[in-house]
Amino acid sequence: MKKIILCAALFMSASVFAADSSSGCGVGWQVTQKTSLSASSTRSTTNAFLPNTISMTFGISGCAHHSIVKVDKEVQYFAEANLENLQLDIAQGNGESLATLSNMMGCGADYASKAQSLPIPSNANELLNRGCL
Amino acid sequence: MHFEDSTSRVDSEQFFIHPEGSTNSLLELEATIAAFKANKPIGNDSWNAACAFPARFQFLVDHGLKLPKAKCTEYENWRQQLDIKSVSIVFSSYYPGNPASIFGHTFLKLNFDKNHASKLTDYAVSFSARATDPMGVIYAVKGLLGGYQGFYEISPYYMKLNEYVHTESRDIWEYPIVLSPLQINRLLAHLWELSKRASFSYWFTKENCSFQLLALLDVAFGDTDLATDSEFIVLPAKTVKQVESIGKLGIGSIRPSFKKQFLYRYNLLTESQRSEYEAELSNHKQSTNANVLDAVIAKIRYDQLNVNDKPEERKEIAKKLLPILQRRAALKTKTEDFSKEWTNSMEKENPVLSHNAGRVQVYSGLRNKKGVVGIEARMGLHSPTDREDGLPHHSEVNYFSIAIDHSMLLD
Repeated sequence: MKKIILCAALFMSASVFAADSSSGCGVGWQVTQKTSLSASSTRSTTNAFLPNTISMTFGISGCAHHSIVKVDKEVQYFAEANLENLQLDIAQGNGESLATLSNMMGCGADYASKAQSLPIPSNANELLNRGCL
Repeated sequence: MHFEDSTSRVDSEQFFIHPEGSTNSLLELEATIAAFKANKPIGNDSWNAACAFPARFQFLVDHGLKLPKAKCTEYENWRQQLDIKSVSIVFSSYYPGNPASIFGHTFLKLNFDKNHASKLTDYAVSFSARATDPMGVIYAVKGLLGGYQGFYEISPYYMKLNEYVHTESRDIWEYPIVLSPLQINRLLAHLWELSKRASFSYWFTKENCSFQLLALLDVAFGDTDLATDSEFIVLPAKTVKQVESIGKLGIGSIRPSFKKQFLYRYNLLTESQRSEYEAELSNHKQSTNANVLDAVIAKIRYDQLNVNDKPEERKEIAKKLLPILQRRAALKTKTEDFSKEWTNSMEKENPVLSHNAGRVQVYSGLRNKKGVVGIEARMGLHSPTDREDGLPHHSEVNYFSIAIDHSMLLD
């Protein structure tokens, strides 16, 4: 029986987002730390006393002081943080991220299908500069 | 005030008005009433005492105290932006692929929709530690012994989703919590006090994210004691079950991990479409079928998770993905929305169904030709012989487990 052993790992699963001074946490995928101290030390000891207990829920994030996104930055911030999801939604002509963006910009119900007929934007500004289409 | 016995769990001085407030609740109460009556800022605050502690202020007013009203512009602005109509509890699943997160994680979601409709622009409230040491042994030991400070933080929900679903491939469960507008008000007022002024020792095992969320919910409900009732070790899934046990939990909905999304799309493909899928992935032949391309895209995005910590490789994959996305867009067909199917197909995995963690068992049998009888007790979490509902399949996690057995030679 293959045992999955908990590790002392505590590493933040979370990607640590680089800090961005403007509006809270940075955006994108710059995952800086994904080191698991996964427990070479404990991996072999199934019922190790301490290390097994600590690997719960744990979130460290670079956005510690992040709070409410300022209204005037909301759209920009959303588009940057969700660029990859938006690219996918545009390709598939449908999706929650694109619907949310359309809603934020106050665009019509046909925004997704119109977006699908244009090249996939390679960055957030390219997408936002197109407006409602 | 987050007192446990005669001391507050809050460590930061700014959370108290009296210098001895963290150990003497009577002095703190008197100082609080005096500060509210004086209606002036405390210390270097730019706002009056009532604006720093709106939940305490309301509590005293509700108990019949006549206090002067304060004008709290900053707090009012904050509340205006957080025009919250309902609250959910979010559980991000166990992730056996990543041992550290096998217990899952919980946070609250502040919803702008009164019917708990989930929006990416909702806000997440989580409690987390801010570690100052690099990952390593010191980090682990300090975490265990409460050496780090934990804080409540508020962030856009999409940030949390990007963190859990899009970088870690964990399933997300959202459960509505039944709260009245008055209770939501109280929750937000207290959240203001906590997020601005409170820090706690973060204990990985007990006073962790889940415990602190229960403490916040206790303030909102007003008549529960979920935090105190929680067990010695607070497991995130258990916190969801605790809210359920007081009858305040709604029916959960699901946002599947990238892995589940991929598998679902792949399983929809016919035999010949699967060959198309293979050909597309190995660059032999470009597919013009939307379902095939959707499965291919899902697979590439799932694979991308494995290189999240290698920016160069990640960029490579993104570059490879872009022309496929472009070809998919050119087909001009909409992808189907599978949310209902996902919710149905994952019914059995609902963490609310998971069994409790502790177990005692008595066993007897043969081992190495010797007869064995014994007793085993464990505090957590799951063995292959336990019921699997609500937990990852074929997984096993034990901690604080002890077994005593006696063996005898058989003739």
